[in-house]
Amino acid sequence: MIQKFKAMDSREKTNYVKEFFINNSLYIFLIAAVGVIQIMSPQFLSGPSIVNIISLSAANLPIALGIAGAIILSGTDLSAGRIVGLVACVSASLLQALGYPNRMFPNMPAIPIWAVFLIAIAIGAVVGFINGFCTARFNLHPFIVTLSTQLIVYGILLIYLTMGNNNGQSISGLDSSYSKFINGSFISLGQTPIPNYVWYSLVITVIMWFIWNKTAFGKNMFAVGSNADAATVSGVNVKRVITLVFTLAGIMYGITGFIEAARIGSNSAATGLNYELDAIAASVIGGVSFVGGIGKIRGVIMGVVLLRLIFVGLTFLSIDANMQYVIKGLIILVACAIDMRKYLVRK
Amino acid sequence: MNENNNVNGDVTKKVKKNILQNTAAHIPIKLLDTVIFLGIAAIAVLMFK
Repeated sequence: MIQKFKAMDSREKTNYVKEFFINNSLYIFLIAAVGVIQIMSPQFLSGPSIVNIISLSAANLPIALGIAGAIILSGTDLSAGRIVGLVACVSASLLQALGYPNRMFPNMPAIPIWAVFLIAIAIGAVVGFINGFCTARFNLHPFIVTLSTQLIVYGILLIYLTMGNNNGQSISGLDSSYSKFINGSFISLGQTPIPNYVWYSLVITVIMWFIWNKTAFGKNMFAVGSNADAATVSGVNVKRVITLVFTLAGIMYGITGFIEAARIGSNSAATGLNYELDAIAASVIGGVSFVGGIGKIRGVIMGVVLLRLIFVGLTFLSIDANMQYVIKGLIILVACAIDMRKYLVRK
Repeated sequence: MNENNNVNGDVTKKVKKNILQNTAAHIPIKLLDTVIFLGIAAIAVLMFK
């Protein structure tokens, strides 16, 4: 890289530096912003705050990894947040403490955590499969398919919340073993314990990295995202790949929902609301291109962490919650502009 | 002779069209640069005003 740079003439060097700064302008700005926030509020990067940022990032990472797959196919997934909400409510209702007075299903026997985990994955996989199947088989745009499944899932969630003794209330009073399984800790950073779900998220990330980079399915996903026609000619089963990518994304949302239920403790119809927007923003900031076929796991991780750093930083700066939405939207807009610029320059 | 002129005319048209397209291709990049710059400036102002 350095030798290549040295071999350039002065005009090429200027151009290279200019392109580098424009392509990484958002990263540079966000990192600089983190530095400024730290100077203005020294507690920002203290031990407990770092653990908080890592925990929040870890909770959002699986959903971002799922959505990134859909974006690589030059699609998107608007149903993610609602799937997380449905899975969270189902998991919470099945894992309420036996002695809890407002139990949703009072006569239901105790269910092992692993069984509920499998149910969570199954729910996510089924909705993801429907998303992928409709997109691939009927040649529909994922935007409209996932918009409709989002509404369907939300309707099912609202109906589910009125079942049993619940009457639309929030589901809380979770079994202590479940809470401990997700929120418990065996390692601390200074005095602040790191919750178990950070490690689960890490394992999921490693698995996703393996799937994306070391399997034929992963290579096919990038091929289909780059050029579906070329992939078809090369012998890739495009419909199968699209269906599998959305199913895998659904599994990720299922896992996120299972973790989220115990993480927040009290689950309602609002659980998971707009989670997909943060995940899409993190993916785009991390360099996953809406044009398709481009994206890296490390980019998604960086996007999730940077976005979380800024959100936590905004709170430290005492910025109005309404204004935070404006800043969030601007960050997404700039990230998309940079993505499109890279595409145009390549073209 | 006429045939040659026609061929040359077609080529000229194609070249002109290509030049126009290439010039047009640069406009969005400059526009995008402006959007990126203004966007980052707006974020900075909103965050640190």
